Amino acid sequence: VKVLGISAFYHDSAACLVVDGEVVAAAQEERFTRKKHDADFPLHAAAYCLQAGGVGPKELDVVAYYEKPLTSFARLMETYLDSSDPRAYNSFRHAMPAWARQKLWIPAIIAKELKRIGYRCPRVKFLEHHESHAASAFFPSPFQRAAVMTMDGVGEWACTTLAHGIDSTITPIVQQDFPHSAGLFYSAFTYFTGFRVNSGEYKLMGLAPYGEPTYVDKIRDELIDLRPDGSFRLNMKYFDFMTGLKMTNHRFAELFGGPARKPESELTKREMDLARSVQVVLEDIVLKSARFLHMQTGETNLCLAGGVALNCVANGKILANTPFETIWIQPASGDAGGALGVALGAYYAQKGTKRVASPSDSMRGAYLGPTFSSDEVQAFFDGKNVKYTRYSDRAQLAEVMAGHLASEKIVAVARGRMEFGPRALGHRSILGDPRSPRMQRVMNLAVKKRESFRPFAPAVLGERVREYFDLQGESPYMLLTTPVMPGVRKECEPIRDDVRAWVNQERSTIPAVTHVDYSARVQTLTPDRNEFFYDLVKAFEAKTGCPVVINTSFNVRSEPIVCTPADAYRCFMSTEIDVLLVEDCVVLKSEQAALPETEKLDFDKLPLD
Amino acid sequence: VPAIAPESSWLTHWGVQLGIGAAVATTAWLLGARIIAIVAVSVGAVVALLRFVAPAVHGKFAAGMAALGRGAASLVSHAITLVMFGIVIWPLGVLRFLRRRRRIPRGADDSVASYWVRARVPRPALQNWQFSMGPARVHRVASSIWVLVLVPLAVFGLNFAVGIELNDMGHETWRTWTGDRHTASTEQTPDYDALIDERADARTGALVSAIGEFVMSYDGKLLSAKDGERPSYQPTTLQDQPPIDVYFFGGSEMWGYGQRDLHTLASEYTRFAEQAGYRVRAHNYGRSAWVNWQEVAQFAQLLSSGRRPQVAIFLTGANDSAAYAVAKTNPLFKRELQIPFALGGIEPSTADWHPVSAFHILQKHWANWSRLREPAKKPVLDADGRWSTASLPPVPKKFEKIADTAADDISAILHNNLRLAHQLGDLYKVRIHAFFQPTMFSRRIHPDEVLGRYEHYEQPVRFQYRIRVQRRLDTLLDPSLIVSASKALDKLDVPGGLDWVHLNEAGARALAQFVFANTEATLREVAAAQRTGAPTP
Repeated sequence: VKVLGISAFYHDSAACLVVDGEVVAAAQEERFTRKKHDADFPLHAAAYCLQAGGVGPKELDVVAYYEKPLTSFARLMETYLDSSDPRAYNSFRHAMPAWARQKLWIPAIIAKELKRIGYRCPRVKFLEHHESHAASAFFPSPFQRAAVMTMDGVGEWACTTLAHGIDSTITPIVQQDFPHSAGLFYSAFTYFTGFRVNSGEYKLMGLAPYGEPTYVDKIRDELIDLRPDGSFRLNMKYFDFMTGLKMTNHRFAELFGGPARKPESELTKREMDLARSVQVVLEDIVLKSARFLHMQTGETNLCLAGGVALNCVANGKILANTPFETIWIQPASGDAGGALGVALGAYYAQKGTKRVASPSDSMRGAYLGPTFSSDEVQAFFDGKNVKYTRYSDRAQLAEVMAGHLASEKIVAVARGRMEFGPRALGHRSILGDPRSPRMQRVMNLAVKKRESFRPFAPAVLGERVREYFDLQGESPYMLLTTPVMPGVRKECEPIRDDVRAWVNQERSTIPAVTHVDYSARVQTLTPDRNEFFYDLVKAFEAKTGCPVVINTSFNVRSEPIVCTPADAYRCFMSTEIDVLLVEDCVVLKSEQAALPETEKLDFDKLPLD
Repeated sequence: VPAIAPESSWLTHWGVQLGIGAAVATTAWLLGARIIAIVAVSVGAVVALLRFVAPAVHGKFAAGMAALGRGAASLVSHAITLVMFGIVIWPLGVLRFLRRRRRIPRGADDSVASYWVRARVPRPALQNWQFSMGPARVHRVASSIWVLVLVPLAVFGLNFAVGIELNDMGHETWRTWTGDRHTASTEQTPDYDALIDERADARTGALVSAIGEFVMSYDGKLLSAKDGERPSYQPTTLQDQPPIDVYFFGGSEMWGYGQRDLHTLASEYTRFAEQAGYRVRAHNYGRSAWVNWQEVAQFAQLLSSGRRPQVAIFLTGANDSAAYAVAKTNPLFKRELQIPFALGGIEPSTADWHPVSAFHILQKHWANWSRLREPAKKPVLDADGRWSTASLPPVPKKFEKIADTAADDISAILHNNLRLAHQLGDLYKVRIHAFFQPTMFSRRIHPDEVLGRYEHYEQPVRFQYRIRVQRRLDTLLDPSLIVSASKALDKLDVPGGLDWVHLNEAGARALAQFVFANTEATLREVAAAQRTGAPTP
């Protein structure tokens, strides 16, 4: 049975192909169209998935969409009907054309678009938004039974769901309905601190360690009524997202001593303290909900999905502070993962399907995207007159790349199948030496062209992770934040008055991946899952004794992660990256002629996301 | 990645553009705005040419047009959403707020221990979208939304069904009045299609001061007019006799709405007279929609201009009963029918004549319900092919008085006009005869057909209303002034149709025979006077 899952028309549209319960391919549309968070129908992604799965034009059995649009529309109308504020017209006017034009005609649009790539569309099936998330969390997980928690902005009505997954069924237990959403609550602060909603939440998370939780009491007193079981109600007096075009209103601003920060303006202590405070409250919500879920299910395994599950700090706290012993988080926890979830959900909803959990998981390391052959890469470089060296021996290639890393060069890798989800896990990554005190600053400003306060994540050999990080189990998808081991740390006083100086403090033997609170968002590497990336870090370890490298996504600000060799080469030539590896071809910046300005990325046109 | 077909092909793109251009030009041409049509085609051709000659200019033009289109679409979108929000959404929101019936909680609630909610029962309306792994969990949406949507739909749907049921007569006579190409009654009229075409061409009129619209000159194969007069049959025999000039005045029945020139009432009258040995020279001054006072006024004008017939025949009909009587109770009718058509001098379009607004449509739908309350839901033909009297809807009580008043008015006005005509006749030595044939419709017409025709007017204008007017008029009219021709068509055996005299030459012949029978004595006297050289009696 071949199932194509689709998520689209909100943000991060994606497609996923599941064949007989196996995830064959999945990709986000933004990687092909080069539009960050592209919400259009994932035509390119669907075309790629179907071709990767060898599906013939009439062989598709099920097409499944990750949400129930009619229910969402009903919720929207109910929300407007429930409002007596005439200013809701602004939001109504913005929302209605999209519904009238697009979202109410999903089956027709899917059929039309699939026809463009030569495929016949079978009957479209629909799963609820949070059911899709739950399916994406549980079905690929290594657990035969587990508790399932999904949290994000909003689906149809549900914003948070607690469920119980057993074999091939997921039984919902309770849910928290709109507008009382942990995701929207966090996004409101994202907006207020001057970052972009649906995109800048991870920046707020990264900013939190710089602040102090001075606003926690105010948030608990005024904004949220949190119960011991993790359920809560927001005080909508302060929020504007129900029927407005903004997340917060003037009362919210008055509560926190002034208007929202303007994007790209100077970050002040207020924003840092707000980030820290809301992170504390969010963690409180997540931990209480997780404990309640454990009480309801009695399970010791937990699966997480939804946008809030990308908050790796909260995820780390769950593992450390709840009865759950193992935790598995869908690497594409955002809406893109809905495509994967609905495809698996549609498959397991059929009679007679049985699920046997894989001991690791069924995500294939999240390497589900397109790859390019060495010959294709060579042809591309030859066509561009690029000077490169091709290494047919994998060990030699790892050795060469490790050498560049050890000499403090910044290395970009585009090798193997592209990752599915927001994290680069070594196949579309920029790597660096974590021991270098200057590396965080250089990579943020010269390479990634982004804010200097943002931390980088370490990729570490699985067998040596406990030497550097206080992590129980593994974290293959970089979705857990964990403390750096005391033995690695270099204790120093926080310099709260001067954030730049504080960022550049040498806090450990791997300062570039140690955040100011001595935490790190870890990716653990194993030879079976990560193959070449593992070899590379192993070679780096052999040269330096350090089993850790910096791993950040291969893109610059506001740009999707690279997909093709052309994307990789352009990004490489537009930034301060020293070495580029595309499949088995190594390109050195020092040997290349400068790229014409017209072909370079124009950073002036790329706002901070 | 497999090849991805473009969203729209070149052919589709240009096909749509050219199609729109062609549609605009064709519509403009058909509406008579030929300059606009020519401009549209020219602009289209220039733009198409620009695409090849000056692509850059074409690109700017296309971008400009696209921007205009987006602007227009945005305005339309604004308007629609404003109406939706302003009329439906927001008022309901305010109502909920005032009644404290908001359903979405907006803050803490101390009365509950937990804010978690359990799984919900699915809503059947969404079953086709429903597809769930566990117990279905669709949020129960407020029933008011569905009441808001489904109740009006159900009412309109039921209304529609009732209307279809009531209107489905399944009989050949159920034909539209305005689509009058063919009915059973027209089958005996040769060249009927050609006659209709010519009638449409000849309908332009000229305004004559103080009288109304006059017939314009027209020279057709079957239908013609000159100097406001329609040609009539001229006797080929009796050339040795001096002609008797007979002027015919009336509305469309007299003009010969459904007859060829040589088969109008006036022509048939001439034939009957010829067979009886009288050489009549007929002058047909009938005009569609005219009423009695117009006819008398025209008679006076003709006399004052030196014309002098020996006999003048007036045929008063439905126009009078409608225009005089109903105008008193329903000014709309007079405005719609009489003034623009008969007095305005300009042929009104159907849209002007029957303005169909949303209100009219609602009114029509609502009328279906009131018809359900009437005793006869579906009138039936009896064994004689007549619509059962018992099945006719009763006249509402309040309309009886209106109908009686109308009949009183009509009789009074007719009597006064005809007394004036007689005084003129006495002065100018013209013999006057007047006939009244108020029932424009023959007996085999379905009552709903009458209702259908008049449904744009108010309910008093009903078949039964007219019948009551006619019955009362029969008792009020002074036979010395006006002869009722109501029963003239009773013995006519022609397949049924909407309006015999309007659409059927046999009807005109039957009515002419009746008129001749009632005026033969006058012709005899006039002919005798001519022979003796005495003045007209």
